[in-house]
Amino acid sequence: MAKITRELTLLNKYGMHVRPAGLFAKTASKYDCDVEVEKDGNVVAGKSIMALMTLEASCGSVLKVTADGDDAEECLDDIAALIGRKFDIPDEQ
Amino acid sequence: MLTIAGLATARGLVSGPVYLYRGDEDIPVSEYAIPVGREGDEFMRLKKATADVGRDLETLIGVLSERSKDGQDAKVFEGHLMILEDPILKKEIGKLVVERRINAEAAVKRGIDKFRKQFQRMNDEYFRERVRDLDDVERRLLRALTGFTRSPHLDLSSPCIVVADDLTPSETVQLPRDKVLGFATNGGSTTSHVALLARAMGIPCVTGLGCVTQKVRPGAIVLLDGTAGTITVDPDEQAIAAFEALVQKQHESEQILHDGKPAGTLKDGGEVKIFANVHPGVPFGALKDMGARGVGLYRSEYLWLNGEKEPDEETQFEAYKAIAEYVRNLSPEAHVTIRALDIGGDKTVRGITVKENNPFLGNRSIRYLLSAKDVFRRQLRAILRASAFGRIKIMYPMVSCVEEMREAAVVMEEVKHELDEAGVKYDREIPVGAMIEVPAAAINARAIAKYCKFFSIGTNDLVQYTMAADRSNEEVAHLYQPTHPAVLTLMQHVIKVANELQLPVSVCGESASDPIVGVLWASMGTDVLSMSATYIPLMSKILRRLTRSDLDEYRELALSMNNGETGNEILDACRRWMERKIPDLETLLI
Repeated sequence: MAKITRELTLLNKYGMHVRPAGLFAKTASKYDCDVEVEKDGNVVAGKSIMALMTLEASCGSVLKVTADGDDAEECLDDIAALIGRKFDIPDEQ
Repeated sequence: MLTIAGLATARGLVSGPVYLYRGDEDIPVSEYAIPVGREGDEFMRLKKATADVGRDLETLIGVLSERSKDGQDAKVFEGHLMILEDPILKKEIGKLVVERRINAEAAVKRGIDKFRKQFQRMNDEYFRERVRDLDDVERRLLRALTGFTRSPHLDLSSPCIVVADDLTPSETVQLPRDKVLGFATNGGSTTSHVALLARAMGIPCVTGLGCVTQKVRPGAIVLLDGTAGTITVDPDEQAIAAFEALVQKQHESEQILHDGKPAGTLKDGGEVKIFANVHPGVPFGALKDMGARGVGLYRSEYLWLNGEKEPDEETQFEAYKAIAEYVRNLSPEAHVTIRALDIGGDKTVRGITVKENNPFLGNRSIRYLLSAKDVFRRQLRAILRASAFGRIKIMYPMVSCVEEMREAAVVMEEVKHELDEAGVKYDREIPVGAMIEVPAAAINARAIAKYCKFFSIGTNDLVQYTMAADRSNEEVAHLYQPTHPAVLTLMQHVIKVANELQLPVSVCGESASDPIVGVLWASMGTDVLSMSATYIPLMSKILRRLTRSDLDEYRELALSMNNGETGNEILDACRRWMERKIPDLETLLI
């Protein structure tokens, strides 16, 4: 069992609104590990679009993403890549 | 400038400012406790509603992603789907039902409220606005659970084009007619209720536009082409000029009708009678100008749907009397055919219709009336009383067997007897007809004919039931083919039986107004085509170019194609024939 935390910075223009949060949750849900996201002391479930949106994370926010489980490493890689690609949203690059 | 393509739902060209109609009033929700032991059922109800909303959203997403290249429109609803399926939200609402035994509606509201509060507290305006997405999901869930329909609070000071997500029948008819230039909606199909009503009201309408409500600002100028099915937002000068040229062309093609001959006159002087379909609540004063020779379908159910409860006998009587008196101006032989309460299926009235697993195969129309005889009796009394003021025929919708005609006849006799006792005047010989829209009735038309004075074929339902395909379900709408060989066989049979027995037969489905299909029904021997008044000039223009022997040729062409051809191939062959016969068909169709 591995528990890993990484700090990831949001790069897309409008931050964690509906679609990024949805894509984040969808990506996290592909893995068995537990995923939590922390911002400014708020910790929420990483597989819930609703919870992620309540973080009020805008562009430039730093998220502490913790994955706990056998596939934690792959999960975080996947999430980091998604954030790095600015969620593939054309208007927010 | 932006042009969005949707479905050509009600013909006509119109331009004007946008009135953005947001259905965002609160849906009233009451909270109550679920009895111990019943929370499982309540949870299933919640699950079913969630699944229904999910399916609706998926359908919408599918349609939208096909339509736009980048799929941007669909993304909004993908977000809504994800919110709907969010594990935390789902668990929260489920827990309220199962553990705290709160009814599903209240649980949805409470569950979503919890998140809503968090959003409302946010500092960033952009994030605060996301609450709208939550509201939208909540509204969809509550609508699925309660069957709630909005009541319009439209404040239209000047004529506008109403742009909305979707409009219910009651919303549509309550709009001030003189202030609505056109309709454009995200959802809906060419046969949805807003479509039928727009056509009845003669208002151009485009449906199935996807995200049009998000693409227009209130007050923006749009060009709406209900014939081509497009809407153009912020048109440039060139687009406006092209649009005006089109309006001019339409006006010119309408001129050929001003030769004093009645609507439906053929090139060789013969005629096909054209009647109008009428909705109560929609002014019918223009029927004469449009050329209607009578009213072939009076949709009495809208008296119920408009008010959302049963209208009392007096209210009904006044409505029936008004239309009966009006038709006397149309033509010497004019009458109005009142369809008895056609309710159930997709036409629901709170307090009357109940939720059924399979509403289209359920307690609809004449079945409902025979199961609620007091309602039936009140309607018959009102219709009979009105028959003293003009020529009225009455027809029963969704007849499937002889038993229903017999049972209805018994009720009719009882009501007549009551009126006789009370000394009330009415037309003792009021003709009673059967709507042929269930395949069983079509096949068994000869037996049904023994109990009635006329047939009226409701092609919307007849096609839907023959093909077992819901016309409003986009996934299966391609199966809904009025020219399918099976439908043509049934139509031919019913018309033949009627002609042999010298029973008048009319077609009152929307297909009657279709230039290709409606002419086919006429060629097959129907006495009357009944359609939304707006379509009468169009049908008249087409018929004015054809002779009786053309119609015979047309019928032979369509009916000879039963050797493995598809419904669409038959339709294409018909269209090609029509284009050959009428080279400027396209101009006429504007």
